[in-house]
Amino acid sequence: MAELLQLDRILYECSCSEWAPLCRLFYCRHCSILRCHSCTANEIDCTFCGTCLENVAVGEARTRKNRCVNCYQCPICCSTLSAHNSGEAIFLSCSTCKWSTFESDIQQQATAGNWKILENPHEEELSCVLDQMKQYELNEKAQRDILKRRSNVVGSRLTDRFGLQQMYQKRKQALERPTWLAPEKEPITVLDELYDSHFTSIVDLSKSLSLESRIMQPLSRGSECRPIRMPLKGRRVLRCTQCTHNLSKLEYSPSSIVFKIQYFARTYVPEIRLWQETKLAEGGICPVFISVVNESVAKADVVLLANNDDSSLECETPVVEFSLPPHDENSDNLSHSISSLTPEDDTIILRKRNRVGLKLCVKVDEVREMNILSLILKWKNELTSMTSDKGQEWRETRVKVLLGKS
Amino acid sequence: MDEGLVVVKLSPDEYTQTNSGNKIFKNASIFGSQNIIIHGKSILMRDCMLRGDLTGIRMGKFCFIGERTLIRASHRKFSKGATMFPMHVGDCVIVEEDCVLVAAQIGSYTHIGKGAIVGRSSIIKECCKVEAGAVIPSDSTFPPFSVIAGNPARVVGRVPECTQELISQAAKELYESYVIQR
Amino acid sequence: MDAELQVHPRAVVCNESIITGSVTIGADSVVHPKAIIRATKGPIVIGERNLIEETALIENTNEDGAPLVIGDDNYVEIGAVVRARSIGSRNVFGIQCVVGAEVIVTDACSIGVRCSVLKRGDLAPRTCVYGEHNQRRTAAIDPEPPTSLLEVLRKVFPSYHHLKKATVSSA
Repeated sequence: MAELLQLDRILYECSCSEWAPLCRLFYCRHCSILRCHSCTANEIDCTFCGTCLENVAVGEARTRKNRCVNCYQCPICCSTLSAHNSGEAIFLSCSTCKWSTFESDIQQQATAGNWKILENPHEEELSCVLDQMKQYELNEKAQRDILKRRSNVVGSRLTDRFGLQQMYQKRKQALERPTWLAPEKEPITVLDELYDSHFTSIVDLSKSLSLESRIMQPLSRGSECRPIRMPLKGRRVLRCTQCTHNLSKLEYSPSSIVFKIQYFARTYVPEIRLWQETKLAEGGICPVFISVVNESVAKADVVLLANNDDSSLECETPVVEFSLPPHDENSDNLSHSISSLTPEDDTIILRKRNRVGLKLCVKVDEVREMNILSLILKWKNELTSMTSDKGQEWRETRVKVLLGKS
Repeated sequence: MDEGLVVVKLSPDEYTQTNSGNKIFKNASIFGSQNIIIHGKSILMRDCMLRGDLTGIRMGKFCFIGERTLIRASHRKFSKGATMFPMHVGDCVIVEEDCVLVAAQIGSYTHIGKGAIVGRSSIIKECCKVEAGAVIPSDSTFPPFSVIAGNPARVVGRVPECTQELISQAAKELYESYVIQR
Repeated sequence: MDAELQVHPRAVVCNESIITGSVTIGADSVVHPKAIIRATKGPIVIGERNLIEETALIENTNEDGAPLVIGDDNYVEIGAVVRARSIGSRNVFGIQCVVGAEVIVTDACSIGVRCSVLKRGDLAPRTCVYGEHNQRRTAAIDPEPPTSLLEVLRKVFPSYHHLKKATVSSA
């Protein structure tokens, strides 16, 4: 129970040479290879608020600066703020650090949502400058376009029957260099004095904000705090980079866990699990117990061989070949299912439904921090390809089992 | 680890099996059992406490509640007073030892680590993983597929997409691996 | 043991709570089953409208045998371990928090989930202890008292639990 779902101990090699546990890999049936998060293209298909689980359209999210209007975070400890009534008005408070809006400048208000956010004092100036730069951009684009078009002189002679006169006027205006309308800044000549008291005065740290709070609210200048709007989260869709087919796509709703498209590696590749914790003693041959499970709905033929690299433990077990029946949902209910306990040979010691238990012998010759057992897994499963004839080909990947200290 | 191949034996003096397949520790403190609905094939381990007397608790199938875990419903304050809200625990929820769950809702296929505290009225959606020792503040909500850790708890990662099948299998294998000896 | 337990007629104390020693429980207070109140070194006096949840531990470890006086409107949550010298009113002790011996908890303090307050001396009013590292700050408002929750519990408990009999007390 303590070792429930130790997913990071068994690593499979992806087609891009990255190592990842099988649960984090995907299998592209069109290309017949394993894919991981590094070799898939990510797209965001849904932006939503993690607290109210409300879907926010991408355009709306952009105008709201990727923040939710209804949900707020505490500026001190980042927990969710909850709304409470005090008479007619509503205030927000944090259940962890007991910060409340009474400590900010807006103490209460009539509605629970739409609390004012801190504003940038330079906002107007910055937007003015941005508009100006956009005009410059259009101007430069028009100047580049001159080379593509023929002469503009012809336009002045045409009548305005087809609206060409207007187009000509517009183009001529775009070519003019726009004037600078944004406010100009004068350089400062007089600086504030630096007094010794800036260095020697005692600062009361309990009243000032922590570094994390300041980073979350850069406009707060260290003292004013307002409730922070909860940042929105995005949900990913994974796509194979080679054949551009989707590998994983969830249904539309943010709180859904049902997949429209799912090509998880677990359903196509036999899964290797550690059966028991291995105790490796230096010098001598130790048994390693692993189990191989077939999670797919088709039969799988499996070949497992040792891959004796320099950095991995030497495995003395010869090649193991066996076939695993498909995973059957209905047979889960039989707790007394057929499991043969008599070992078929030295290696295959247990068979139960769609899994086998194997005993591999490894030779431990020195004390190491992390012992790795390298294996090559070959499997044949008719589901591994979209076309049925190609499905009968053997697929191969390398597997690393992290065994711990010796 | 492969729970499908391991068998844990429970003594019939301490554990009993109900008609719907629930394996319950006999001396578990279950108050108000008429308000507690467990859909079946769940395991309640030693010394766990379920407070059904405050309000209803509904659990799905294949749940595993570890030793000394406390499950009780939460309340919400309104202007007219407080109301106790029933607690919904989904299917295949694996809760390890020493946890305190005061949540309003724990989604299916969730794995809650040792010693986690889930605050009052919080909502944990499906396929989440709460790390050991996490302290989830009250009234918080977590979207599906999040890994939740820390004090106060925050989302620190994503679980693999195939979590639903992983946990569903792990929960079923856990249930089968605990056998009450006759 | 029970003879030293004094329960106000309006208090609701479950039989399944574990109360040892000289303990007085005031009006409208509610003690959940499996709550532990131990008057080890001296008596414990609990005021009105307090809520003590299951597996919470309140113990009098005052070396001089002085009574542990707990004021009104306190909320001791699940698993809290409180061994303070004295406790004021309107405090909230979070889930599995630890309050050590010789700490004097004043009013409206809020000790967070799994936090510990061990340093001997006063805990200033409206102090809030929170987070993994027991950070402290002073809140602007009092934490919410459990009054409305107490009302609900006082109605619900008699149907599910046997209660300790009220004793006629002059306190």
